[in-house]
Amino acid sequence: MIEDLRQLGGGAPIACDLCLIGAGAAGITLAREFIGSGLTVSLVESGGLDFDSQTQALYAGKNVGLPEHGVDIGRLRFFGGTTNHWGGRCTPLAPLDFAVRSWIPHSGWPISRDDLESFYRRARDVCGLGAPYSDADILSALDIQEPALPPNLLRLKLWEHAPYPWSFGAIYREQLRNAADLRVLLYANLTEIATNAERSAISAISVRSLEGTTRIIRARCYVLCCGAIENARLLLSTADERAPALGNRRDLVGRFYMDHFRGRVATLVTADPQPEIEAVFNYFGDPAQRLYQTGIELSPEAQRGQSLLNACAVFDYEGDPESGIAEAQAIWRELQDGKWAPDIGEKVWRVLRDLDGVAAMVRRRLSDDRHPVMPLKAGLIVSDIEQAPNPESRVTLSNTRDALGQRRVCVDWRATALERRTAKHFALSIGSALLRLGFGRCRIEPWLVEPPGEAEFGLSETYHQSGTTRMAADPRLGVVDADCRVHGMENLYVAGSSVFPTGGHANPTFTIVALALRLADHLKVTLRQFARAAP
Amino acid sequence: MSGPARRDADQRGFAQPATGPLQPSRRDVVQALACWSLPVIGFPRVPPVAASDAAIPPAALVEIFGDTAPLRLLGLLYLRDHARDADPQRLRHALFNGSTPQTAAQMAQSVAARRVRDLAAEDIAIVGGWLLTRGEAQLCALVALTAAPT
Repeated sequence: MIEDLRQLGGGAPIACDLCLIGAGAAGITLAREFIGSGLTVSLVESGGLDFDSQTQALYAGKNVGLPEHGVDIGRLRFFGGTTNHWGGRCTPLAPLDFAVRSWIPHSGWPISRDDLESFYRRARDVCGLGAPYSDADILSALDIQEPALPPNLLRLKLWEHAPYPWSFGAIYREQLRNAADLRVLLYANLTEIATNAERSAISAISVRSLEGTTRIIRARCYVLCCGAIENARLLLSTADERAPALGNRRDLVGRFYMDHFRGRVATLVTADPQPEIEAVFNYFGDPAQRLYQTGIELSPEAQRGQSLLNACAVFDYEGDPESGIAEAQAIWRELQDGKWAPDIGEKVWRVLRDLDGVAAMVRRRLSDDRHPVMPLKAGLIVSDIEQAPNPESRVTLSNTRDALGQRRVCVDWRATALERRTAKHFALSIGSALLRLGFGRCRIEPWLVEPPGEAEFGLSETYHQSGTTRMAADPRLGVVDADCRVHGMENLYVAGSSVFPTGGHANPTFTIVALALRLADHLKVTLRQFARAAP
Repeated sequence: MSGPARRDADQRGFAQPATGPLQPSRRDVVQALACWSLPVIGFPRVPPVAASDAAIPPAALVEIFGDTAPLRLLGLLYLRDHARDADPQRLRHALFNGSTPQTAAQMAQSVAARRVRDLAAEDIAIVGGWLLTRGEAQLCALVALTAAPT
């Protein structure tokens, strides 16, 4: 069932086996796994079924590091969470991403890619990807000729896309509403966590609506599923004058805050308005309406050999605004807005003059589902660079408070020298390879070739926040263990990208879902053990 | 943010970049360096060319490259960071084994062969942010040093 705390009102504590806090990718995936399990689950969500600005305002925070707009607008605080604006790009983390990499301080997961393999397979269904195929099969089906990239340096990268939009809130709402043992509680903000005297177990949590309605929830286990920034904020908020925050005996909660660094690293130019490269690196649709994207990634050999972070790049093609198809698009946009451009005659003439080009592009778009639809002017090479774990890049609590009286978050996002060096080597490697392959010539972004120290850092955020409650087998090195249980706590878990010790270059949602499925399996066993042990 | 987080001191593996006001724009280069028809852009005049050094036949250059102005600009940028190559004799030797080709066909053949060798050896230079093979960069330098504007 789905209930609204404001209408439910205060009353007796809600009792359940499992309490999930946050209804985003992780929370909803976990909740679905318990349907029909015989275990009772409460899924509490701060927002309602749709966006509302009052609830969203609870996410507002202070930013004292690199510009990180994702603190406020990258995260969404209503049912479905940030999947409500998820782009849908899916790929697993690479095996090397899980390894201890001697050249990257604080790298290494306590689990391997093999440990997640079966969960990645299950995550495909959750993300709407359908049956798996090998990259080679997909490339063959899409008729993409794999370019001869230097194998020890670069690799072709293939991404699958979830159908768009794929908001977990919209897709799974009815399933959750109809689930017998599941209670979704909307407009319920976690405001207090009560523990036993030893602070080794959660005894209850308190949820409150913005209007002041409060309820207690008692569960056997609790999982924070609120994203990297909010998970850290919720844990840090449990500190008081007598004790450190839960899970924070070693001052690790909120540290190692990461995102992917995204930005243009080079521009490809070619005299050919329909260059060959556009048929290799692009978006592609298949007859089953599945969407794929191809790009380039740094090979594991290059990462090892040159002591680099992981990185990938896609091509963002820039059309020629003076082409006939560009004029046709401009006319169409204006007509959609109910307007006639003042120079409509001239625009139409330009379309007519380039009618063959317009027809070819429309045909290309309709038959191949390929972008761009304009003759090319340039290809912008946009890279996602892994962020090196950095304890000084962190989430803390500010001294300002939100409408619930809770301390707001303060984010200090920092880069290290390694991200810039990786971006530079990656851009140069791509440019050299494209030159050799005859695809065109690249200009490296000035900030990468100017002497270090003289250029602004040219990459920005992707809203892939992660790393604030990192996973480590050793409690001295991480906040949660390999099962995502908070070190030192019996029944408190964390789900989501906040547990990532490193983030590779992969968009995080697919791994968030895989980890949530893995956690669900663990919790089913744990909860049954708890039930047997209970008096 | 300030501090060391935005800084690195890595310059390994690639030639030092040229910096300063002589930056060819994308529009300038979009006409395609790939086939060596370099773009037309304005650039500062180079010192007068000594007759004995003007060994590249201007007609051959024009036939291959069209306007040589962009080559001269890239050559100037390259020479700024590679002073050792500011020697026409040395460049002719590096590019053409000492004997400057006299026809466009000979020159195109030499340039193409050198380009293949450079790409195989990953001998790449960054000139004004653009990636050029070493031979391309040296030819630009030779043009800047010896060829009269076309």
